[in-house]
Amino acid sequence: MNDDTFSVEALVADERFQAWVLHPTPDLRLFWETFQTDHPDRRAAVDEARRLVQHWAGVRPAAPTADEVADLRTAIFERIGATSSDTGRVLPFPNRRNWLPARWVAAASVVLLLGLAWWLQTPGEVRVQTAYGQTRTLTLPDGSTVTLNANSSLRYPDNLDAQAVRELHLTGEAFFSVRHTADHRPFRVRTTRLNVEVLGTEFNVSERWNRERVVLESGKVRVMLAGNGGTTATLKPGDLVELQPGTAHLNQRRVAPGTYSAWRQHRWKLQREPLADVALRLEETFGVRVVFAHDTDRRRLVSGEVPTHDLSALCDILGETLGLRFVRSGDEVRIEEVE
Amino acid sequence: MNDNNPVSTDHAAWQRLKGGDVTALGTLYDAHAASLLQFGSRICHDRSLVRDAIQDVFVELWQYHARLAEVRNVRFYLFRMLRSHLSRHLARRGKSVELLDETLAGQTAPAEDVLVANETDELTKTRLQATLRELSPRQRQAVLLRFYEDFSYDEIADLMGISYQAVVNLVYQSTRRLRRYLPGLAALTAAQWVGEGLALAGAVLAAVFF
Repeated sequence: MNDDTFSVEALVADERFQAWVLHPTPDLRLFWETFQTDHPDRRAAVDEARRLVQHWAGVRPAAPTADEVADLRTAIFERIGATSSDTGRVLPFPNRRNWLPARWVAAASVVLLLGLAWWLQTPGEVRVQTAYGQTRTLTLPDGSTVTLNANSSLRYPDNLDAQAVRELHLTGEAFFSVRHTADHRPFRVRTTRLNVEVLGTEFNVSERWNRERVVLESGKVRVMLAGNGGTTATLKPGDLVELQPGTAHLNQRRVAPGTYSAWRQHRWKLQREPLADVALRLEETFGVRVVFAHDTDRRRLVSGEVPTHDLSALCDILGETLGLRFVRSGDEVRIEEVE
Repeated sequence: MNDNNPVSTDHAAWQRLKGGDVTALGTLYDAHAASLLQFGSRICHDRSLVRDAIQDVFVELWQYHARLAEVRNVRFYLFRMLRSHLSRHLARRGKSVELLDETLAGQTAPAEDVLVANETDELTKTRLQATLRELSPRQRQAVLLRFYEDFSYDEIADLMGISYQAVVNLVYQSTRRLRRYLPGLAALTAAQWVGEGLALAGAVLAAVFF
């Protein structure tokens, strides 16, 4: 035996040794007790190696959040055409094509600041508006549901379910749950510069502030630049498409989908978001004016998940987290340095 | 070691899945999703890509359930499927699983990537955490697959696309680092051993006297 054969490291790295420490059997016990009797000079090494194996066995990777695991589960079952909560039943489609869902569900959220032009309500048209700090869920005539975020407005014909193309106009932000029709009628959401068309299962479209933005949660949607037949993007789950003000380029990248619809649960999931954008979010959602009292770095990145039920509480949390003061007075929030 | 993962439950779920029972897919998902997310994230740092690949694994299982083979270790099979789906996703972007792992080699893992359970001594815990942060992605992968997921070296070699001996070496090197961080341990063990030796000597003396 050369010395390294039974070094502490070699023992720890030996599968039979690990098995003896972690799942002992009579055979393993006999083997390693005999080993120690035969090599009394290795007893200390065996003891230390035992301990190290036990240390290794105590190591755990960080668990994913329950939300992430649950969302992924839902996405899988929607792709195969069953709902996650439905998994107590055998699917009614036993053949291999059954991943084509019986009912397509699509979810989209769209925000928009521009385009006040079509705000005037015309006959036969429904308009729903939310106030600052208020969200609202409604069922459309075709059975689809929409959750409107704060300070948003949605327009659609009152006979939506009779239209060849179900078309809605949105200002602000919303999350759509789209019901598929037997005759495959398209569902289209229009913002100032974008047309979002539902092609399949589930997606999340979002546009924020000066940018118009579409995020797909699962399934398939197509995004078209309005008035420009050429520029389209087809989204896969987890894709984000963004249109920056003043450009005609659809910027596509991959994101964590839940991030952009967290507002439905009255939460913001901030992922490396510049402080300036957080200030915009506050203005958009609560109708306040955000003022930087000092020379605070607005590019500072903010990450974390915060509840947004209550503006005062939100200001406290943000202030504490960032080491700043968010002072609320009337319709104004002043961001101040602590010193 | 995952306590919630009895092989027999997996096996039963696998049989039900083959028979077309979609609830079995949920059973398998619930038992393995967390581990698959953890394993995938150690191969590929793009979490949404890992999620996509896991979706693909389960959708594929359902699509081909009638043709699924008999599998000895369902959990290992799922890990392998995830690895190959991830490779496919990465290949589409001109990367390979191995290459990506190499590019990550210079980085240290975020502190929350690994946790230390069952350690009562705070100092040991801190040192163990520090060791884990210092390990290369491959070393960490090998250690976690062996001691947390309880895969055999043969299975780990397959999952990591390296040889059996390379897996042994990774665990060996990781342990060498761990030892360097836990120097008190050797001294303590030696002292205990001396103590035991004295006790033994005492027993011998006692035997001589009586």
